[in-house]
Amino acid sequence: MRLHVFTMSESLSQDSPSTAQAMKLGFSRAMPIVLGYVPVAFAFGVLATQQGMPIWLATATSVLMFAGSGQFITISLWFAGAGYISTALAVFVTNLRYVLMAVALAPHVKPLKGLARFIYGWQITDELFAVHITAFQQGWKFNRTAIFSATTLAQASWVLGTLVGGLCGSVVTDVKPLGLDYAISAMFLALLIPQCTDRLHTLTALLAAFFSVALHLAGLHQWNVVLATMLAATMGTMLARRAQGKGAGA
Amino acid sequence: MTTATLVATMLCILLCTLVTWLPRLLPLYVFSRDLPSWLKDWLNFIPAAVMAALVAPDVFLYGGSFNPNPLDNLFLLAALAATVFGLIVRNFFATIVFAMAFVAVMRSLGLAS
Repeated sequence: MRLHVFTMSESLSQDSPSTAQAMKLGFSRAMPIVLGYVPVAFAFGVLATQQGMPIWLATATSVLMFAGSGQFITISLWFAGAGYISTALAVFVTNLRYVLMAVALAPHVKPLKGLARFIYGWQITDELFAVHITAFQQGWKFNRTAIFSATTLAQASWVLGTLVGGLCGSVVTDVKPLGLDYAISAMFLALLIPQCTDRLHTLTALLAAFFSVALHLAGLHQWNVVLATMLAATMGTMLARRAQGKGAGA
Repeated sequence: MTTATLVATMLCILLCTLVTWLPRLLPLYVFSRDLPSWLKDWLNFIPAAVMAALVAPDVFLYGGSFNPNPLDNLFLLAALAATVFGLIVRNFFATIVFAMAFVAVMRSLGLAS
């Protein structure tokens, strides 16, 4: 991954990087995310406006929520006739994974105070989390400009992709020939592959996939993702700690 | 869209925004201290688990019912192809484009729906 190169060179230089260097680092971290977001945001814009949502509201949704799966779940449930509570509850359960991500990020973002921390939290997505947690884990020295250059560019691309998708929504009559209905799955897969760094992580992913499908088939249509994630991660942790000799139950 | 529907939809979006912000923001204010090692280990496994848990039902339940036969399930076939592609190419964007293009091409050739 290119990330590694940047963080290594960062940690080698003792001086803090200039603003331009920090921005460059942030933008280069966000670039792969931007390329992934644009088609998915475009798909959201198309699907939302085809359901009758005005373009401005679809775009505003991407500004406010900035959440791939959350936004797709919102429009699919709401326009299928679900009420406020069931729509919001489904979105909340899907978003519970952000708790885990935010907990992991919390010790690293202590330098951010007030509004800055609020904005950073608002902009936690699967992809930005992955990029930043990797950098922090590799010992990268926190840099506010680099952080917000990455998050701002990523969100701008998400919002603009939605806007363009919304404008095309009236032209595109069927999303299937373009494979747009596969955009979300493709994004999750592309995120999953680099996470499977060793046998235990691969096994955890396979367990999560199995539990998620099994729970869905058992009728848990909203809770399957959260339950499967927690179950598989717990099993992965127990196996890892047993292998390290720290004791499975510790 | 009528005005009443528009207002209701706007309210729904605001509500969904709130339940998106809460899980992202609360831990940043509550857990600003070092975490125990078992929790760090656990969090390390969360991303792999959550991505797999999100994608698996979309892929295996394509068409509305459980279908583990890749020759009869376009999304599963595309996932397998994209995984092989992703492991070789190791590029986030290229993997997404490949997967979507795979689905689009299979449909345009009439090999799957």
